[in-house]
Amino acid sequence: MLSSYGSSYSYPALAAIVIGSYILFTGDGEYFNVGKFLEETSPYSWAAAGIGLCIGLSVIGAAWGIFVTGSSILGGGVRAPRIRTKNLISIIFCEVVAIYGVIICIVFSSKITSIPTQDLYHPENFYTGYALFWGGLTVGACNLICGVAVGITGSTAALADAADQTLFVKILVVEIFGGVLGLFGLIIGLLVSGKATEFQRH
Amino acid sequence: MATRRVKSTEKPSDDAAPAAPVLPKGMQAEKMRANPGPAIPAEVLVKLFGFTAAMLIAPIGCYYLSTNVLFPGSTVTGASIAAVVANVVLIAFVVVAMREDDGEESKKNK
Repeated sequence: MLSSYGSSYSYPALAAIVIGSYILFTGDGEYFNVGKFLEETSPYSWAAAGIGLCIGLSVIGAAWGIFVTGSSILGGGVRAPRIRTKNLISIIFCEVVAIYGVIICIVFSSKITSIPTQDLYHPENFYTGYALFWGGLTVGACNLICGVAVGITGSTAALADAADQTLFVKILVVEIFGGVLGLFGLIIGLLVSGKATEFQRH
Repeated sequence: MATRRVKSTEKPSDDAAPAAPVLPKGMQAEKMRANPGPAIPAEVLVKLFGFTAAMLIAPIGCYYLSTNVLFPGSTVTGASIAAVVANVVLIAFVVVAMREDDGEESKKNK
């Protein structure tokens, strides 16, 4: 009997082998063509996927941090009601992570303009599409991990503050270092997309 | 957390308040009306909504101000300014929160 862990990975692999063998042995081997896929995929879809990944992953990170921190603040606040405004700092650190994603998405979406299809498949438009996709993925992944880091640190800060209030400032320093990580992703995302022009006719 | 739980089981009398008797619904409402608990000060609400609005509006507003008025066409500058403004709001909240909690503690010590 297959374990559920093994079967969850073996079914997609089996399907890929069957479909790949069918294409290969029926004389359609050239149907699997990475270059054709890259050439025929619209730069609009790369750009839109990048923007969606950027804001989506950023919000997942921020929300994850906020719910971890928020539940710890409530739990600590029941035992030690004096922990209040200071611990909301952790929440607002998580919120900033989502704001970074929103800023990058606004910058990226200003590069999407409507042009006719026959002018779309041009090297500069391809560059814009790829830059927005990978830039958005960079920013989104950075903000996801940054939000989780700030959230878990913030939750620990709330519990430590409930036990001993001299600990809060020390953990806040760790939290600030975690919060700066999202800023690195934002800078790189801006640099990657900075050279990309708007979609334009040639 | 574990240490706190142990502490409360060792000497439950001075740490935990005696459990309030469960009142019927009507009496609970009567008690709530007589003693509605600590009121939320207006300045706390103003601070809360002020910082919420500032976090939502200030960075994005500064981005549009920068790209449309100050440096037209340069989105990277606008985005950098927006990121800086978001951090300024964050630092302002840290300062306000620290000052508020320290003030309450010193008031209690007097």
